[in-house]
Amino acid sequence: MSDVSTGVAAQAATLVSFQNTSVAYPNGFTALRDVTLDLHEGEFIVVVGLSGAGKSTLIRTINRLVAPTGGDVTVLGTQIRNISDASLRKTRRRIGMIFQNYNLVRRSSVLANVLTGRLGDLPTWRALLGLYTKADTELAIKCLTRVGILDKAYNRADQLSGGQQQRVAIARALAQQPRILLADEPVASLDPPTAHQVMRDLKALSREEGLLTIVNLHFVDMAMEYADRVIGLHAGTVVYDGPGANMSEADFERIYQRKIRPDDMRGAAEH
Amino acid sequence: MTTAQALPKRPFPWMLLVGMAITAAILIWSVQGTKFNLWVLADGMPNVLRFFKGMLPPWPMDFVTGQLIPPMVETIRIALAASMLGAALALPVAFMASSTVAPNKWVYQVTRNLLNLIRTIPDLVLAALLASAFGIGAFPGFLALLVFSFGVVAKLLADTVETIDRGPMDAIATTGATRILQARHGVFPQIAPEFIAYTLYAFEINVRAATVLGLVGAGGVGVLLKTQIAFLNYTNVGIITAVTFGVVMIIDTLSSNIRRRLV
Amino acid sequence: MTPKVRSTLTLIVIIPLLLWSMAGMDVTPSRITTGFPKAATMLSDMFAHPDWEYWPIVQQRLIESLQIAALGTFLAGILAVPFGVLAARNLVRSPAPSGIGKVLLNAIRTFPEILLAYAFIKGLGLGAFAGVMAVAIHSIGMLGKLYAERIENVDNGAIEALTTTGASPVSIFRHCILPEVLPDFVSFVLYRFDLNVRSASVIGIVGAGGIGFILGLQYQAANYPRLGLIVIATILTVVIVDTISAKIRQRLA
Repeated sequence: MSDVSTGVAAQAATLVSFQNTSVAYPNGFTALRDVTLDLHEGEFIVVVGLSGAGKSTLIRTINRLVAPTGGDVTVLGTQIRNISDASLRKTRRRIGMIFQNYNLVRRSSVLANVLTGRLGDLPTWRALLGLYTKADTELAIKCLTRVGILDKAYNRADQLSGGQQQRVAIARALAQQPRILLADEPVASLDPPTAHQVMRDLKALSREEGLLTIVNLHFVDMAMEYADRVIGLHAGTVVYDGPGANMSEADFERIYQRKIRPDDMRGAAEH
Repeated sequence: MTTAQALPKRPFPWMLLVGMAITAAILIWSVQGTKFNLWVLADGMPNVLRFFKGMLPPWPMDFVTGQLIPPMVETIRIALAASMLGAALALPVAFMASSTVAPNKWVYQVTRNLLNLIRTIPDLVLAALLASAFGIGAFPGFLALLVFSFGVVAKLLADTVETIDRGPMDAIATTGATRILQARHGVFPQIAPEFIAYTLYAFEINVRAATVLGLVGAGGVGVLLKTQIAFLNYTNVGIITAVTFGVVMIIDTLSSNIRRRLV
Repeated sequence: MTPKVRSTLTLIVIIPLLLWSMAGMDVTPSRITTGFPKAATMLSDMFAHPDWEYWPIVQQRLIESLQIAALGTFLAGILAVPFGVLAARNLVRSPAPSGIGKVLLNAIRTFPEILLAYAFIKGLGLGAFAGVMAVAIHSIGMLGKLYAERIENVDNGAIEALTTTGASPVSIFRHCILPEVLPDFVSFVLYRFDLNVRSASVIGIVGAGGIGFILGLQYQAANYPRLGLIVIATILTVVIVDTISAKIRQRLA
């Protein structure tokens, strides 16, 4: 394991802490082996590695979509491995997540989708009747404005392009007023210019809101361009952990343990 | 990242409101017309439940062995014959009713419309009419189910033939073979499993329908059912229903097994 | 199994089966020779000279059938929702409720509608009310199964996303699953209405209201001109309902 702290994060609070975390699936496959990491407020982290190296598992352990089978993970002060469902929901409130396939409710409007980000904080009767408070609606409108898609508020989610849908997903995550933002291959389904736009927006948002953002990417060039800190995984262990600036292809070849190929690169945004 | 934007106007949900208004009107009209009344329902439920209770076991076995088996066998024969012949007749018609095989658009449209028309005739009506013409017994039931099976299998088969790959058919056409040969060797192999599946499906529906057709005298178990109901012999009604259900389940299992062997 | 062996086996099984089943028909030549002409006369009496004067009664009974189908389908559409939710495998943690739910729905579905009609006539008397209940109960079985299968096929992505926001399962059902399945549920109900118009017409024969009732009456009386009018009117009604229902369902998709 290499040294963890980066210049920016040196003084910031530790929001996520992996403590000898292991994840083994029932079929015998070990996705994470004995990982120990500290992730800090305000960091923009990109996780890289081959398919099956454990990138997705690492991210999904943070909000316990995948449960650790060894060790533990402390998130926002709570050790999440064995907590109750109710406590888990409380912790998840402050963690926003976006996905490769956007995962919006297709038949609902954009506004309705963003409002679902508020559901975790609503009392049951309001949630059942769909009666969001005025504050909720104002927050949703603000989030939509932040991502620049307010004019599509009443469009059905599936009428939008891929890049627009991802922006709605980001707005939904923002509506949770999170402290941590997880992104599992957020740009894999988007064309290069749109992909770069989304990454730029994510980075700017992260900075403005002071979020800890962890992004899963398999595009080496994008990792180099956007990351403050890069964590490289290989076969479930951390093989690289350092600042994103001034990384070279050689560094990636060490992480991947093979030569970099053309399809590992996203390509430039034509701006 | 953002430019100043305004919340767009919320589109007024006209269609939804109109739809709800029409539905409400239809419901109120229906409640009045059918004299639907929750109090009457509550009052009457004990008697309804008594009917069902009467159908429960214990079931006297002598009824089963003595009276039930011959009509049951007759029902199965009617259902089997009707589904097999109906499916056989449906095969060529299904070809004509699909745009992939029909020789021209006119044939396709006419056949499709005729099929739809046939499928609107309730089989009970058909059975009743046939019973009038041919006398009571198994034969009118068979004819009615023949028409019914033909309709069901033809429609399902036509929809399947729509989705086939024209390749093999066109390949055979280039050898100069007639349409019939094209269909037999180019199309049929592609749909054979479905054909068998639909025939078995028709068989299953026919067994169920035969119980009802007997009510108008069209043979099979339904005749027995009618007399037992008339005699208020609900236990026997229960036995008949259960045995019919059992037969349908057996056919269902057989049919799944056969289909699995084929595919 | 080579194709040749397979076809020979098929023939060996199918032909005797066919012969055996046909033999049970007691088809005598005389039956056929008297039957077809009789059928031809009947048909011409029915359709060449239908009794148009009888129309007012036919119209009234047709309306009754439509009302039975409408109310019965509507009741079933609503009542089937809890059944469908219970029977769906993906909503509750343990597999037990789903198994029980499915068995229950199957039992209701396969129970002959005619018997349901008899049962409710016993409790509610002859007439349309019994028909409504018979249609409703039978349709709960049919719709419940369709609902359950649709719920089992929801898009899991959105559900996963909302789970990560910390929303409760109830909220997720209300805001993620329901918006996705509701338009399809309405489609199922409309299709069911379509089929119920046919069965409402039929159960009338045993006394559960609607056009089936006069169908039976005129049949007993062997009044073919009136019978013909009834059959024509029924078929037309079914065709019209089919077309409207198909159009609405297309809009919904």
